[in-house]
This record gives sequence, C-alpha cells and structure tokens, in this order.
Amino acid sequence: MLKKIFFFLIVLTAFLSALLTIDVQPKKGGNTVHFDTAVGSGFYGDDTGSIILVIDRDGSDLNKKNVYLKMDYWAGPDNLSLQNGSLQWKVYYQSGGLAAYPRDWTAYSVRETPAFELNDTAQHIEIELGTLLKYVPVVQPNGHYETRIEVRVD
Amino acid sequence: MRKIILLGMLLIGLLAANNFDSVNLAVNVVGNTFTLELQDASAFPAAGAFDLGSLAPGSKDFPVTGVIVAGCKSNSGRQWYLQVEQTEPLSDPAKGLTLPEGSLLVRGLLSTRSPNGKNLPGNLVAAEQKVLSRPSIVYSSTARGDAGFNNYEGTYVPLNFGVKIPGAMPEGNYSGRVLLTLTE
Repeated sequence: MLKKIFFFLIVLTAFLSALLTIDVQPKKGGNTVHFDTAVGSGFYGDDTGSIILVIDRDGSDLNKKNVYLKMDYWAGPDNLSLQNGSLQWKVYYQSGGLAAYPRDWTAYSVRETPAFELNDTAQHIEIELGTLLKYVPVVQPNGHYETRIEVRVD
Repeated sequence: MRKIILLGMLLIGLLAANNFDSVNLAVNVVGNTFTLELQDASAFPAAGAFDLGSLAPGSKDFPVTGVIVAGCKSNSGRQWYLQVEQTEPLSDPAKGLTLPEGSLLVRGLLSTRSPNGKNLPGNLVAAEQKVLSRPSIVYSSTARGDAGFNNYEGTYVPLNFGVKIPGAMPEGNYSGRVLLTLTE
C-alpha cells in the first residue's frame, strides 16, 4: 500500500511539474523555415519565413514568464556563414498572452537572449514570428546556409 | 521501490526539461558578382586619370597622387587575381618621345580600408614592380576568393603607381594608359 501511495505521489508530482509545453514550427509546415534570396538583397518577412510558436502552461508554470531566443551559428558552404545580426525576428501576431515584446525587428543572437515576457494568466499563447534576412552582401558566395532557432521559456 | 523512484525521477526530469523547442531555418543564396571598381585614395570613384607629377631625369617617385584603390568583389568562392598592364606607353606625342617600357612602376600598399586596418587576406605584391605591356599580378585572393573578408564588403587593394625617369630623357609631358583586370 505504501508503495502504491509513493508511486502515485511521484507520478502526481511529475504531472504537476509538466504543465509547460512549447511547440515551434514553420507556418508553412514541415521541419524547416526555408527561403531563397539573391546576393545584394534580403528576405523581407512574408509567410514563407514565419514561425509559429505555441506555449501552453498552467499551475506553478504560470510563473515562467520569460521567453528566450537563441540562434545557432550558421552552417554554410566551406564553413562560411551569413553576417551576424542579419537574421532578425518580429512579432507579427500574438494571441494576447504577451506582457511585453519589442515592436520592431530584433536581431537573433548566438547567445540566448530574453525576447519577450508572458503575462501571468495566459495559459495558451500563440505567437507568429516574422523572419527578416536584412541584407546578403554582393560578395556572399552562393549556397545553402542553415541555422536553428531555439525557444526556451523560464 | 528503488526502480519506482528512479522511474518517477526520470519522468519528472523528462517533463521538466520540456521548456524549450527549436526550429530549423535554411537560406539559399543565389546570384553572381564579379566586379572591379577603381577609387582614389579618398574612397571617391577614380576620375579616370592620375598625375605622377614632375620629375627630373634620373629620378624616381611614388607620389601620393598616384594611389589608386581597386575594389574587387567576387562571390564565386574561387581564387581571383588583380592584374595590371600598360596598354599605352608613356609618351609625348607632340615631341615624338616615349619613355622606355618599364619606366612605369607599381607597388601594393599595406594599408587597407578594411575595418581596423586589417591586412588583406590574400597575397599583395608590396615590392615595386615594372608595369609592362603584358599583365602582371599585383594581388591574389585566398583560395576561396577572400570570402567573408571585410565583413563581406569586398577586397580593396591600394596600389601606388610611380615612375622612374632615365637620366638622358628629354623634358616633356608624358602620358600613357594602364589597365587593371580582375580575373579568375
């Protein structure tokens, strides 16, 4: 009997701790936000670059209000990368769960950076993040450049 | 009992770690750039002519007015070369005089316009060399075409032209033409 109670308490504790979920994916579906751009220009937003972020939380996890963004180093041909700071994000849409967020474009950083703050009561929050590749220099070698955007709530 | 505790802790750990997610992002860059733009020492577009000043017979000079900066831009990712040649000899048509080939000189300057004066990544020929009627290399990029250098703004190669006047050369107003070429 004691074992059963103990097990129940452990499982209950686990579920009580598991009230925060984050789902981030391309608006267009699939696993990768993918777009083309020419040298000497950029990619200015659009649905193709949009990222949908869904956060669900409850209970004690409503205290977790800070959303952090982090970008991996670019992986390109011959270990080349795109310019630091050229990839930027902006909140296109949010379902009302944000207490504070920048109104303008903000550069992704390879260091985890506070992005926006959730309000105390919102349990289900949907956010659309636009993507801007500000400028690809004319001497940027052609090729396929990849990175990864990580979202963390704490 | 221990198994149950471990299982519970694992479950808690897995669920508690679910406070992040990630998405991949990929960019395809397309387009071709291979350009050469000449500037003067002040970064203004070159006027198309430069003046090497007045020299006495038997003297040599690399005046500051003879500085030309070659802005080289390539996104091929392959090695490229900046070459210089004399397409018209230094001559005074009114007097029918011509300076011998090899009188016109060029040398690469070590100072650059890149941020913080960073050295050029390729091979700059800093020693003076004669500008001849056939192309001579004055700068070779890296094997990857200086990709990524100068914050992807291109490679700016400062060149100082000079002249050496033979001792027995009559006075005159000599002019000629040089050609700079960017090639892979």
